[in-house]
Amino acid sequence: MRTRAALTAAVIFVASLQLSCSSDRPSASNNSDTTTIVFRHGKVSGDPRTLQDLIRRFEAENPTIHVHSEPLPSSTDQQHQIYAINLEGGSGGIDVLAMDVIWIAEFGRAGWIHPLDDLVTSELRADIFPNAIQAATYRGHVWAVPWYLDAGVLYYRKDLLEKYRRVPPSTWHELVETARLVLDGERNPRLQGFIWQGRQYEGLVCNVLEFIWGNGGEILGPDGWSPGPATSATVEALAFMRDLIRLYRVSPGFVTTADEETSRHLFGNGQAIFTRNWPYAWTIFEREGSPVRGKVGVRALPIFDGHRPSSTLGGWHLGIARESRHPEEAWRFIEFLTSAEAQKTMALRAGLHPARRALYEDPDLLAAQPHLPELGPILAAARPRPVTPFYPMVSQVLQSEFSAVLAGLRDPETALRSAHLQIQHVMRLESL
Amino acid sequence: MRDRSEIRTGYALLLPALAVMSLVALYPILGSFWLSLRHRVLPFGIDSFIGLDHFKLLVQTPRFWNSLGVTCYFAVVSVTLEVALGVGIALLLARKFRGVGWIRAVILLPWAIPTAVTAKSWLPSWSGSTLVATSQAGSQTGGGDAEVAVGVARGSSSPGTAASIPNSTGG
Repeated sequence: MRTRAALTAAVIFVASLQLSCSSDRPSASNNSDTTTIVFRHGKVSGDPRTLQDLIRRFEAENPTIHVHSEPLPSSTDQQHQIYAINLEGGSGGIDVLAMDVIWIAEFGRAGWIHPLDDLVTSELRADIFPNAIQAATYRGHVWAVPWYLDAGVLYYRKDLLEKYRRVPPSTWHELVETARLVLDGERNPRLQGFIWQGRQYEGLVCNVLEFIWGNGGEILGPDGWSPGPATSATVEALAFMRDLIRLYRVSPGFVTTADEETSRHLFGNGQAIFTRNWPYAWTIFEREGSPVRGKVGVRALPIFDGHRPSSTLGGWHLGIARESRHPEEAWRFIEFLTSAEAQKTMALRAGLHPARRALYEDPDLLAAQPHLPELGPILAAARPRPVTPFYPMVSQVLQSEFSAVLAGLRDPETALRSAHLQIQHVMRLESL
Repeated sequence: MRDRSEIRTGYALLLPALAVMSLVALYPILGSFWLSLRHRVLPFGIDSFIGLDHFKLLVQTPRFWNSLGVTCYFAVVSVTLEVALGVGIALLLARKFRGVGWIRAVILLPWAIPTAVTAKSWLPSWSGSTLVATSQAGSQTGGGDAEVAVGVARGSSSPGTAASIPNSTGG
């Protein structure tokens, strides 16, 4: 018995030694006058060499810094989990990390990342979309620098709209009318009217917020974190989404299980007239061999009469881990990746949309991506989701209540009242 | 007097089992109840006693009542089915006829398989992509919790029934 215990202890000891060695390995392999920084990030869409080339260019410009790039799994939930485990333990060896915009307040509050107030200069602020900075600001501190941005947009079939002499819809009711007209005219059972993301996940929250904001409603009150009242604008917007499926029948029942990729595949195969998605889909629709190539238009999401269009702001930000032993080198790398030059490269080669406003007037970019002039104002007007460290909990509540409404299990008013009670309960944490 | 010492020995022999059970069963139950009285987010250093506030929220949430309803529905349906089928089959198998051993073995098979494996093997029939039963409801998530519960109840009644046989025939 005793020998076995001793043996176990020995095995654990050796294993921990190996673990600590392996986390030191990147710096150990270099000579003493170079510093290695570890950069963790999700997979960057498009050609994986885009990021590798950028890193090499940075290393060439900064010969004393070596960047060890470690891609994370593609699921954002898994990425979040990996960050939480490594950063809470303080032994992940992370220097620079890419964060989904909804994680920043949480990471800041948990003390996992450095506030960057002194580093984000007014000069830098002047060129970056203010809403993206706002999304990274919590308790008066800026915690991360916007790397590339996203916002919900409406894609439509130019050819079908022209055939029926319709202009792209600017209100949701026009969209329903147009979809109905085209569907009735085409009589194609495989053609759907309007595809969006209705599965019970983060994407659903993005979609619903766009309808609510586009009707002048709010989910949270004016202070930004207490639940807003279940106003008629909010209730109406949610009821309209349910009616797209159940009353107007322009969205099929299966949108309640659809995510971005399902939507993109359907529309990309020519099986839908309208779809809501992020700008990444544009490059794929326009790719050689795509059935809808040259037939796709993109514009701001429709609104309800008399309100301002508001897309949900998405995107990825770069921050410095609190545990980093090389914060200065980490900052130099962030400065490089968020520079106009690097963002232009990422836009040209990976189709990622820059966080710097000036690039939306860059002649090279405009020549390569004719939809950019349309996209700039949409990104500028996009709204961040509630900036709170408790956002994951708020989102969980919203996802399940919204989903129940779309499935016809709950009426919008009951669901919103229930959501508000739960959000109130979560937000009590802010005062504890 | 012989009885009293025997009883004492009996209790003494029970003690290790009681100790282990309270460690692996009682402690987590009491622990989670204690946890339910607190509002806690460890990475943020938040850990406060809030009394019954979580429960106050629960009773105001339609989702909680829906879950409770589905759980009760599931319990009633599955227990009723298990008892009815189990007793019937047990009475049949208690008779002596040719091949009764084989049939008992076949019926016991699902009981010997871990519940997790059985549940997994039922999953494809009830999940979105293969979708045997919920497709008629029009929308997959719209199928509703109750419908899924029927599926799970049906799924569980087979190992459940088998599990009840040793009890009914063994005694």
